Amino acid sequence: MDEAPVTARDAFRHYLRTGRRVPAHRIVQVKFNPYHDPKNGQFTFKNGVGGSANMSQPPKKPQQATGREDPRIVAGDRAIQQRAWAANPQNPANQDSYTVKPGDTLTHIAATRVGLTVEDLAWLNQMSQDAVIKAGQSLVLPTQAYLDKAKKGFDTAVALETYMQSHGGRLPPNVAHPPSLAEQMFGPGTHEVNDNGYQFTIDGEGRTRLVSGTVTLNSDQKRSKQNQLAAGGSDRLPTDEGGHYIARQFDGPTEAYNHFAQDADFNRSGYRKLENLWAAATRRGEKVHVTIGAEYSGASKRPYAIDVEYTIARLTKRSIYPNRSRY
Amino acid sequence: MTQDILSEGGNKICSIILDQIEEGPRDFFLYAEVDDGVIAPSMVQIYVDHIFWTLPPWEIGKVLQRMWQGSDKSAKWWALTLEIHGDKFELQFNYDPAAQFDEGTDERAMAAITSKFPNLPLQVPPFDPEAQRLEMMKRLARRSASFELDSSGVTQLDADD
Repeated sequence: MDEAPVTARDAFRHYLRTGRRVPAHRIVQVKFNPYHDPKNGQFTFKNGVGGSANMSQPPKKPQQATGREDPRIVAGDRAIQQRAWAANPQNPANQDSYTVKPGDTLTHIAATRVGLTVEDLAWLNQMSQDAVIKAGQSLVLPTQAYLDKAKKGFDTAVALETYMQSHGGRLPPNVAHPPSLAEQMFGPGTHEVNDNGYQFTIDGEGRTRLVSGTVTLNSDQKRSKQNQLAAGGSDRLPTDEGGHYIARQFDGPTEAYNHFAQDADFNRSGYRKLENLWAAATRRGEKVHVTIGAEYSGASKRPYAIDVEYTIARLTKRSIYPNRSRY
Repeated sequence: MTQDILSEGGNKICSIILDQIEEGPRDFFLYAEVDDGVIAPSMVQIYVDHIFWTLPPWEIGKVLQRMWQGSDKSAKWWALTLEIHGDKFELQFNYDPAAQFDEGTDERAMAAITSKFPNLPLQVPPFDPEAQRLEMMKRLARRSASFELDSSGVTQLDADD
């Protein structure tokens, strides 16, 4: 690849093809907004209708027919326009209104939606990321349903591309619904669950492979002793306890998929300290995003290590936690 | 013995970093805290007029752990700095017996970096949670695939990628 900037998605494609990472400084962010060009900030119609416009010229609703056009072309154009308008983040149907509270920042407000970046929020409201916002001010927020739909489209595109790369360029039997990326990576039966704002990827053996989400605090969250005792199944060691991927204090779900058999020392050592660090940052009002990977040996239901990538105030760090006795 | 393990580990880490990060200067600064319960590295790439926050390759984790495990108990370090300039590197260790990994690890990493480069501004790449999730997924799948082929009986954390 040359020195030109690449989108995160293209960088990921490159990684899938070659196993090599593109340096982070060359990566520009992928936007869930399908019509937003992150390179120039322009709003571009991808379907050829209406050319392009920048933020100062927002797209308009589909026009009414005058009755003088060819009805077949009119019908086709209108269908295209309607689809574009339905997928447009500036369509009021895709927006909520948010009234700024004292102490709010764009970062805080963006964290109230899963998949919304502060960059997109600023763009949608036609302001800079470091703009000062005042209590009582009204901002536009994309609805969660809109963000989820855009994310689903992104996931499908990546899954389709991955399928073709691993199948000699052939398309899957159902192009509109290719096997999910998670299923391609972790095997048949892999599925994803969203719970309390966290996304869990669970393989066909019922093992949690990946957890991600933005940390939220909930001091009232309960525990499931039953799931803690059952964690690890027959692979649980005598020295193990049932621990959480996402701790109770972070509103970690009580379901089995949030539990794993962990060495008794595991949660008393580094991992607990890491959780304390996240809690402190969250209380300071900083957005803490975590991605947690569980590493298994063969068919074991007990992870031998937990890999963590966490981002606080845009700074991402990595750490590894071996799941074995320290002594 | 310890010296050999440490220098061999330093060589291996340099090799991994230089192999995986192909573009930009061949100059890096790594700060890592290690004990038997955690491996926590932080890294920057050194440019002429700034330093750039760069995620360390996951693969250096097991090398760091081997270096830590292979060090004599009488000379157990808990943090290291590794400075790479092209094909040369310099390793330094912190042996403070009272020190341990705790909630201040991020602050210590940042302090080590900013004190090393007091006149260079730090640039941070954009954060993309989706790319992070997808890359982690891909990495875990690769690890699983390699383990299915592994019948040597070595502990998985010590197995090669």
